[in-house]
Amino acid sequence: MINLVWKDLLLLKRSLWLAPLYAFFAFFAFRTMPDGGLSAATVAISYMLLLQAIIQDDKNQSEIMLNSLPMRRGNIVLAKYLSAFLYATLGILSFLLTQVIVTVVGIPLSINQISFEEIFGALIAMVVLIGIYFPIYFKFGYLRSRIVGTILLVVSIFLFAMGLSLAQRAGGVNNSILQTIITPLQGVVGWLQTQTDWQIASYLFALALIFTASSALLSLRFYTRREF
Amino acid sequence: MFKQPLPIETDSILSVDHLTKHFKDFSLKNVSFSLPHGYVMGFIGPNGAGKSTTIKLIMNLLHKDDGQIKVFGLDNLHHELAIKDRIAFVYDENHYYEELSIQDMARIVASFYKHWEKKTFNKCLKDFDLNPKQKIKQLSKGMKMKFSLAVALSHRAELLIMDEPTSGLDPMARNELLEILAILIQDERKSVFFSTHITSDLDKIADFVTFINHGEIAMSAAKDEILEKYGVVKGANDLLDEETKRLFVGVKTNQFGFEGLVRDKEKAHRHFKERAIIEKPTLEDIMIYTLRGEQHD
Repeated sequence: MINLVWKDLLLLKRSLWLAPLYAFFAFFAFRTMPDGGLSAATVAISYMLLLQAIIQDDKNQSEIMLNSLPMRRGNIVLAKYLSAFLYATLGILSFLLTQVIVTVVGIPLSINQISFEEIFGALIAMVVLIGIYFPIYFKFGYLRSRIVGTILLVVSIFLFAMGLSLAQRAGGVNNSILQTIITPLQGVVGWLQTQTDWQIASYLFALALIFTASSALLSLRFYTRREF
Repeated sequence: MFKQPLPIETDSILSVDHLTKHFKDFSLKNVSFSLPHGYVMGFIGPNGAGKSTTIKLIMNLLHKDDGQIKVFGLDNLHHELAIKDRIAFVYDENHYYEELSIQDMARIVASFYKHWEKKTFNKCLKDFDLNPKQKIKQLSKGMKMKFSLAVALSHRAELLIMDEPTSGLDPMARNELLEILAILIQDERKSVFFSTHITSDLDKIADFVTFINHGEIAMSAAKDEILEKYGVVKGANDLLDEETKRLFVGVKTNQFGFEGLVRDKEKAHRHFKERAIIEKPTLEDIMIYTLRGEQHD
C-alpha cells in the first residue's frame, strides 16, 4: 500500500509546490475569518492533490495496469485514503509555513495562533469530503464523479464560513433558519456542555473514525465489483 | 501476501473452461481452450470477436458470469496474487504513467513483484535501446511496447499474456517485437498467450492457434496440425454443386472459377482427384474463409 502512496507522490512531483500557494490564498481569502483559513487550506490542498493523482490514473487508464499487478484491489482503495491524510498534513504544514512567512516578511495581516481544535476541525472537514467523494469515485470512476467532487469541495470549504456568516449577520442564534436547525440539537448541545473538552474531542474522533471506516468499506465493496 | 497453500499444478499453464460473460450487446459463450507448458498460443479473431474480453477475464479485470479459468493449475480468482506474480502482461495500449520516467515507473512496478531482477531489466533497456531517464510520454508506440516487454521479462514470469501487442506498430517496430519474442520463447520454461488479428504475426512463433469469432471458439489446435489438415482448393465452377459445397468452410466464386477452404484436405483430394488444385493454407486464409463463408463476385 505504501508503494501506491509513493507512486501518487511521484506523480504529484510537479503539483506539490502548489500546496503553499493554495495555503497563502486561503490565508488571504479568510483573513476576516481566521478560524476558517486552516480548514479551507487543508480541504482545498487535499482535494487538489488527490484529484491530480486520480486524473493521472484516468488519463493513462492506469487502473488496468495496477489491477494486473499482484496486489489486492483493497490496497488501491486504502492507499487513496492514506494519501488523503498525507495531503491534509501537507495542507496544515503549508498553512503554518504561510503564517511564518507572513510574520517574517511583516505583511500587515492578523495571525491567529493555530489551536489543536482548529487542526482537528480541518481534518474533520477533509474526512467529510473524502468520506463522501471516494465511494462515488470508486463506484463510477473519475469522469462521472467529478461534479460531485466539485460540489463537495465547495460545501466543505464554505459551509463553515456560511454558517458563521448566517449566525453573525442574520440575527444570530435568533434567526429562524438557525432555530429550525438548532432546536432538535438542543438536547445534544445541552449534554455536550456537561462533557469535558477531551471527552467531546474523543466523541468527534470516534465519529470521524466510524465515518471514514464506513466510507472505506463502501469504497472497497464498489471497487471490488468494478470492471475495466 | 501469498499465504494460501498452493495445490499441485497441472500440465496446462493456462486452461479456460466454458467461460461465459454477457454484456448488453455482446456475449462470450462457453469459451474453452488450454495452453500446455512451454508453448506459444496465438489467439486470433477479427476485431470485436472477444479476444480482449477473454484476456481481461483471465486477468480478473472483468468478472465472469460462468466457467472456470486456471493458470498454473490454480483458480485465477482464489489464487489471484500468486498467479499475477508469475504472469507478465503486455496490452495493446500503454497503461503506464506517461508523466513518469522509465526508471521511476519501473521502480513502482518492481515493488509489487517478489522476484524483480534489476540486472535483467537494465539489460533489456540496453538491448532495446531505451534511456531510463526518458519519460514514457516521449516514447514512440514501438518503444512503449518494448518498455512493457522489458517490465514483463524482469520478474521471472512464466506466462506472458499479450493483448494485440503489434496493433498500431509500424512494420519495423512489429518485426523488432516479433524478433524479441522469438528469442524469448527459446526459453522453454516460458509460455506465451498472444492475441492478434494480424495472423502473420503467428507464422513464425505460434505452436497452437485458437480462433475466436462472435464470442465463440471456432477452433483450437496445434498450428501445424491445422495447416496440415486444412486446404485451399482452386478449380472450375462446374465442380461445385450442393454436395461438394458442404466440404468447404468458405468458398469464393467468380467467372473464372472458385477458391475455397476445406477442413479436411485428404477428403477433398479423394473427392476432386486431379480436377482441382489443393494448396496449403495460411492462418489468414483460415480466418478469412471462416469469417465470410460463401461469397460470389
